[in-house]
Amino acid sequence: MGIATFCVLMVSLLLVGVSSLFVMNIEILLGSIENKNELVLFLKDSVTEEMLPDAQKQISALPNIASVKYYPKEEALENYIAQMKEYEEVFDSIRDDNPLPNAFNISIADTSKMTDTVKALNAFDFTEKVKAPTEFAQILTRLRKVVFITSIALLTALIIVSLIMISNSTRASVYARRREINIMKYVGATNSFIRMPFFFEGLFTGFVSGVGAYVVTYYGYTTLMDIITNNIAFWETIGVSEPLPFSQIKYTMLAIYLCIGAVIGALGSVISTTKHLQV
Amino acid sequence: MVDLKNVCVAYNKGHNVINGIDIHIDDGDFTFIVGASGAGKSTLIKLLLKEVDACDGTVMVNGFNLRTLKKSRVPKFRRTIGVVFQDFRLIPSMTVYENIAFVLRVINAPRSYIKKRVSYVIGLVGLQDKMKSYPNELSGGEQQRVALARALVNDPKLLIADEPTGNVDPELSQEIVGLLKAINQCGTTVVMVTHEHELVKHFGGRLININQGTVIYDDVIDGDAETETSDETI
Ligand SMILES: Nc1ncnc2c1ncn2[C@@H]1O[C@H](COP(=O)(O)OP(=O)(O)OP(=O)(O)O)[C@@H](O)[C@H]1O
Ligand SMILES: [Mg+2]
Repeated sequence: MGIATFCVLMVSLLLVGVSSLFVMNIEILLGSIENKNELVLFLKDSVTEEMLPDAQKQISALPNIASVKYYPKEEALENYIAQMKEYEEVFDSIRDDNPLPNAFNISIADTSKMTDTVKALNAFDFTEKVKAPTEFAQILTRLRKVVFITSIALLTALIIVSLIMISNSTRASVYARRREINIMKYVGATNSFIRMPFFFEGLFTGFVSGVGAYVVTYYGYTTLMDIITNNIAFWETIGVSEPLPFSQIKYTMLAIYLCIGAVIGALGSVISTTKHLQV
Repeated sequence: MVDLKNVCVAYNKGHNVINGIDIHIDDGDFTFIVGASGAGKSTLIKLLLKEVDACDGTVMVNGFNLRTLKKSRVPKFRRTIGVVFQDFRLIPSMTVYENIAFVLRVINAPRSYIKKRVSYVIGLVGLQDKMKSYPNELSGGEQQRVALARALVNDPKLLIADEPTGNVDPELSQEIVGLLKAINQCGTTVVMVTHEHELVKHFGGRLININQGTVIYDDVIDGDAETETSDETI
């Protein structure tokens, strides 16, 4: 089978692999951003310490609540000051007269239902204000959907292109060997006997393309990750977890490449022989 | 054994290329089929190979009823027949030996048998010295003999030759028909299509004349050179 078929199949597999790596990392990224998606419910000044347990119970009773933690204004101020060490003296003066409100830190289970949860929290009479990254959550949810749909569409297109390529190149080799095939038919070769070499040719091409794609992915991904992870500051800045290390997925990737490659190769050749052999 | 009764073949509906043919050929017979161009001779051969199907009548070949034969059993049926084509149809990338051995590999014959059998048929057509040659290194007559050896290697009950003398000069034609006759002597049924009446007159045998898809003549004729041939081929 031709070099061209091998290349196209390898590039297709590579795109499949790269897009699934991309999706996996997006998922991790989204997951880690999501975990940071805490709502802050600021309490009214009128809320006294005795009322806190009851308020916390009411919040926990809502659907979609993962955890609720009381966040007193003293702690909030200390954290705030700690973040701005240089200006410590400025803040020292307001320690006695803390302007911050008491609050609950609330994390929710499903970001896509954040709007409903915020509405429910706002309805409590102890609520002064709810700070929630609703818009951000909506964007994330939408982004995830787009990434998913795009990659499915890409995968489908690539698989179809690969099948066509394999079919065409099988057709070419059927054509190149039409004399042999014709004679085979006359001397009583079974259909499966005639198809066998084309089937294995397709299978083999798919397999080799899979190995090729794996090798390219391995070097590409690890090199990219070296560059990125050497730059730890980068991840701290955007405040998300590190990307997937290749060692964790190498067997999965190899299996995916080989399976998809072999299946496309074999299927393409079968489709083509059925169509062009007229056995 | 070939037994055709009231057989019709049509490529396009409504127009029969073979139109109500009755032919019976016994095992061990040698039969010439002649007829004008477009008479339906090649179509008849295709019918015997189940490359085309009859639209009416019964078609029995080597004990297989071709009208009811399942597709999956066609290979098994074809293994009982040897075919020689007008244009040889040898595989250029294979040596003489491989061209012939290929047939037995296709039907998964054991290795040791292939070696023995191929050497034997190559000897039969007198090409021992050319075993390792490629088809393009052979003369037309030699190529035709390779084609013949290939048709014989599977020990067919029926040997079919569609104009095996189509592209060769008269001397070579006689050589080829001589070989077919010799093969027939060994018990193989032979059906040979030709448009060279001289050949038929020369060798003699059963002659079937086809015109516009029907049999217009079917009888045994005497050859004018029955005794001469043995001198000529030496
Ligand atoms: N595949 C086909 N499709 C349609 N018509 C065909 C096909 N093959 C042959 N025919 C027609 O069937 C008729 C008989 O053809 P056939 O090949 O059997 O003739 P023939 O006797 O072998 O002639 P020749 O001596 O020229 O080889 C012709 O009129 C031909 O045009
Ligand atoms: Mg013809």
